[in-house]
Amino acid sequence: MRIRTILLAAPVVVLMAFAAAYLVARPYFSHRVDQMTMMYPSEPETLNPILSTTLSAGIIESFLFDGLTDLDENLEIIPQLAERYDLAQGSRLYFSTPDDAAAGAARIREHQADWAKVKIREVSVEADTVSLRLDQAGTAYQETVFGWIAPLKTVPVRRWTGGFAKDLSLQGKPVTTDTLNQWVEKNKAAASAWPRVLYVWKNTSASYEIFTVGADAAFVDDLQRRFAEFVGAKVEPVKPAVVTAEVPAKAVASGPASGPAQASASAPATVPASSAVPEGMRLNLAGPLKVRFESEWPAQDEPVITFHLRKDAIWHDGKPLTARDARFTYEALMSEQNASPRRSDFELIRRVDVPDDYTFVVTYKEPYSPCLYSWGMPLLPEHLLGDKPNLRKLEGDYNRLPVGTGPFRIAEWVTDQYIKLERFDGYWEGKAHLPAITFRVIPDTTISQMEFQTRGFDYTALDPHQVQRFKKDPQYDTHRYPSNSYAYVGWNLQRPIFKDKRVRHALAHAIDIDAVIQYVMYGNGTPCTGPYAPVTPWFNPDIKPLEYNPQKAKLLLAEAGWKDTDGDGVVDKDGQPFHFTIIIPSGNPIGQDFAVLVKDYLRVVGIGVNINIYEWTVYIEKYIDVRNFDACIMSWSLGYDQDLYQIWHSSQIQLPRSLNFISYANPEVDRLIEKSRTEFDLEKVKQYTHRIQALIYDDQPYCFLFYRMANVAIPKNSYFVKRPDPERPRQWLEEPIRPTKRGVTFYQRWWARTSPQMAPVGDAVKVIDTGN
Amino acid sequence: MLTFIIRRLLISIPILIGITLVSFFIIHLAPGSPYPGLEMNPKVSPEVRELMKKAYHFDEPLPKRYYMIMRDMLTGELRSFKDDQPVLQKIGNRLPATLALNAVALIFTVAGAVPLGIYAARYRGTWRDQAVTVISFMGIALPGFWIAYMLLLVVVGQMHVPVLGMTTYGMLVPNSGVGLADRIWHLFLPSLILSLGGIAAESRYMRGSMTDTLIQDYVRTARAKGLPEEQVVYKHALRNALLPMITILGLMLPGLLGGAVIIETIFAYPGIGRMAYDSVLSRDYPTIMTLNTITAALVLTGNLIADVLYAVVDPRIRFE
Repeated sequence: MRIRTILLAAPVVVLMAFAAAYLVARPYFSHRVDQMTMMYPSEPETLNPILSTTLSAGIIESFLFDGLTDLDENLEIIPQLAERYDLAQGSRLYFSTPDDAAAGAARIREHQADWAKVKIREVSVEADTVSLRLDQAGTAYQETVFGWIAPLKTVPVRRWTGGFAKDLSLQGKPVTTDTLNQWVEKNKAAASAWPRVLYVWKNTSASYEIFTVGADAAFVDDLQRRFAEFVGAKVEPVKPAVVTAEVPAKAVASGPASGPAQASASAPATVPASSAVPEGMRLNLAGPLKVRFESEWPAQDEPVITFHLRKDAIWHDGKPLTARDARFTYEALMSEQNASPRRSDFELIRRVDVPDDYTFVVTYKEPYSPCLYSWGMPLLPEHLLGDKPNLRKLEGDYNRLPVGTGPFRIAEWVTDQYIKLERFDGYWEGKAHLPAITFRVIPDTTISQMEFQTRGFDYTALDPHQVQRFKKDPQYDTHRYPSNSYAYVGWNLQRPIFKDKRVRHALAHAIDIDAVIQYVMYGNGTPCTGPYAPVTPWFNPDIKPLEYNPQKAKLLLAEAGWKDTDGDGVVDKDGQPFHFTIIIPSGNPIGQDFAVLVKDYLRVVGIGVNINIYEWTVYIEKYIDVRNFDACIMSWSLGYDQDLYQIWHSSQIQLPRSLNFISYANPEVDRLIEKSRTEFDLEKVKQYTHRIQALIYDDQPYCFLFYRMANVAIPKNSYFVKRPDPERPRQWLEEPIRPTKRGVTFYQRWWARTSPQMAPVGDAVKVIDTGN
Repeated sequence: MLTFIIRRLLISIPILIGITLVSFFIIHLAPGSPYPGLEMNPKVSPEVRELMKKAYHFDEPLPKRYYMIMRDMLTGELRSFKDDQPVLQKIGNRLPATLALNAVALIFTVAGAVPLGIYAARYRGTWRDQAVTVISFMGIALPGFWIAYMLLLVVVGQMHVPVLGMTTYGMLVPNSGVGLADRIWHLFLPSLILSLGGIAAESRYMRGSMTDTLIQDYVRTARAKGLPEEQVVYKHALRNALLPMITILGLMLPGLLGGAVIIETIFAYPGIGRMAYDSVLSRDYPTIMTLNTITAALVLTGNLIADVLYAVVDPRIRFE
């Protein structure tokens, strides 16, 4: 009997235990801490801004940290931890003879007073070199100065990128920039050719840059060989596979054996180096060392940014912020052990100086105007991390509970549950209004929506299909703003079928983008007209999207020689049907919907499309990286700066894992991209980018689909913005929450509750201010 | 017996090494890198990506990487690719939550499956048995995540009862008693759903083994000598019918640590299953490897325990 009783009683007892627990806890369910709650899909990997890679980590970091500069709501660069910054530049012009140099300097001195736009502070001559100190940065001064010294020839400065197959070390120590430069200095005296080397710069363990005056490839090869001997590097042949111009052809030949792919493979798909590589660029693959000609400049320009730090900023632990922290942040970014994903922007820095506690001077190797944006990089505290060689392997928990200078400090991080930030009372711009902001981790989107509707969250981003429902609901405010990402179909321009511009225009005319936006995005998009985000000043608003016109598409195809000669509904040319494959990454239902719609639209004009879906890593490594595709659907999320170099410059085509995987090359676009990234006068940059956008859109290397519109919902009348007035010091400015060019949450650090009593949907929730 | 246990333990070592080898190579055959999501970031140059690969020893040949990963795993030095935290610490942080969840689920499973199986066996062939069968098969056929969504729609969406996570989010806890009650309450729904499949399946085993036992000669003898049916079933038959359940319980042991990937994700429960899923998505090889190895070790231990218990409770079984 006993056993039977136990067996039957056990489930009942267990259930009663839970019922009891529920009854005990239930009265307290509605007692809540006063905190704003944000939805968060998954835990950030770290909150150390040097190491974090995800956008979501960046969101929390923006509350904890400040950078030297920031972007305001109109995307203009404003001072943050730096009260102000000045731009200057040291420029050197190398003449072929000392006489020419003296003559050149004389002319510059003579005319400098007349130049309104060029502010030269100092001119000096030494042998064949004229040094200028300018009160501005960039290459714009060259037009004026070189115009006046025109008949005198200068020798260009060239930058070469080199790499050894293995890390270099000398007597057991890693070779540094200093080692290399000392060696160059020592050898300069030995041979007459040596003064032509300005300096050698080491980027990563196996790659470095050489700045020469007018030196040719043979000389740089020779220089590298001597380096190798000097450091005893094991000379290993570098596989040309990733760098030669033939690779894409091979990749085509080894592509999946679908009919159309074979058709294009049988065509001569080799890209002659001369057509894909802009003039002046040369690849040297014969030797054991790879060296690449990177860029050429008529002068050596080294922009200098001087940041004057504010004196009232303090770290969360009470220590004052100084310029040493900025220097430490730079050093940590460049440390190879830290392997920071954000280091690319800082590789162009020649050196940093800290003349006093509140001045931070950065000297660049060459003009690179997007660098101004990169100083939004959060600063790290030297006094806590200065003696840590590897931030990835910290003993303490700084990476999870960091100390910053931001308006909020981290209170607790409960693994996989939430990360709580508390107001930092010592914030230099004034105390925030919310006592706490908590990022609550709910991985499942359906569940988090449910939680939002029961006020488990105070804010949510909406998927396109949810927008209408929340808009109608009187309990919520919805906001809509253009995001900085766009979707596109990229045509692999190495495939013969996409080489004809008329064909690409036909493809654009054949796709009804407005309908795609309507069906797939529920109207949450605007037709995309180029590679810049519409919120940025770089965007050219005058470009009109190509209209949907299948008739015109057919005409253009016919003009390009594609006609349906055998009556099978698919246009053909030279016996080959127009048939290709679009690849898309998996796990992206919206992308899959596009692909199906694109297939449908193209069938109307007689083009056959296959769709293949691959897992993301496979997609990137086996198809995109090796150019083994006809067309791909993807989207770009853009930064706010103007730099298109990685994606659109033709020099990138040849690089392994390049982002110009569609092999776009337009010499004029190349030139304008180079100009846009060396020019510091943003008005001028705008002119360049508007032209770039017009050229790229006309080339139609992508079928630009649309810019995404982002949507968010916030419970009605729950928060408003009360931020420091930029005009009146120590005064507050109150306004409702509204979308800015940087989104709805741009002023979130200054949000304030309209009333501490929040009316929830269900039970009355008592919000209790814990006074923290 | 002791020699048997020692022998089994010794045999486990090569098996474990084999398992780590297989899982290492399966993981590394698939393309991947320690920086998922950065491939298409124009602000991260290919050289920097190489540098990141190097920081995680992706430039070393595979055998050496295997050696390094195993060495670090055994010395507890292994760090996650995702957040550079020591893997064992990451697992340790989530272990109590998962153990509690799965232990409760195990209690639910046993408490539900055994009576249900006995009930079905006793009324074999009648409508009661068929009703239990239908319910069991429904429990097996309905996916846990679907039941979870449906339940949450009602409990969270309509009734506004907090069940997500390990504690009520943002609740001001007046004393530790209420805190404990809140935690226990949060175990209820996820462990109930976790146990549903188990109850359904185990009750079938229980029914089968009970049915087999009830037709044995000694049961007939017990009935023949006039024992009440209750005593026949619960005293004589049940002991023997529970023997196969020991094996099944041994096999369920590794499930104590993992297995709750989907339910933990839906309920936002901070356990190991969710971490395992995250590590697969972020290609966090060290964490995946460690979890695989721990699970494999648990399976081997579970089998061993089941075998030993079998010998303990059933005197007919001897290990030589």
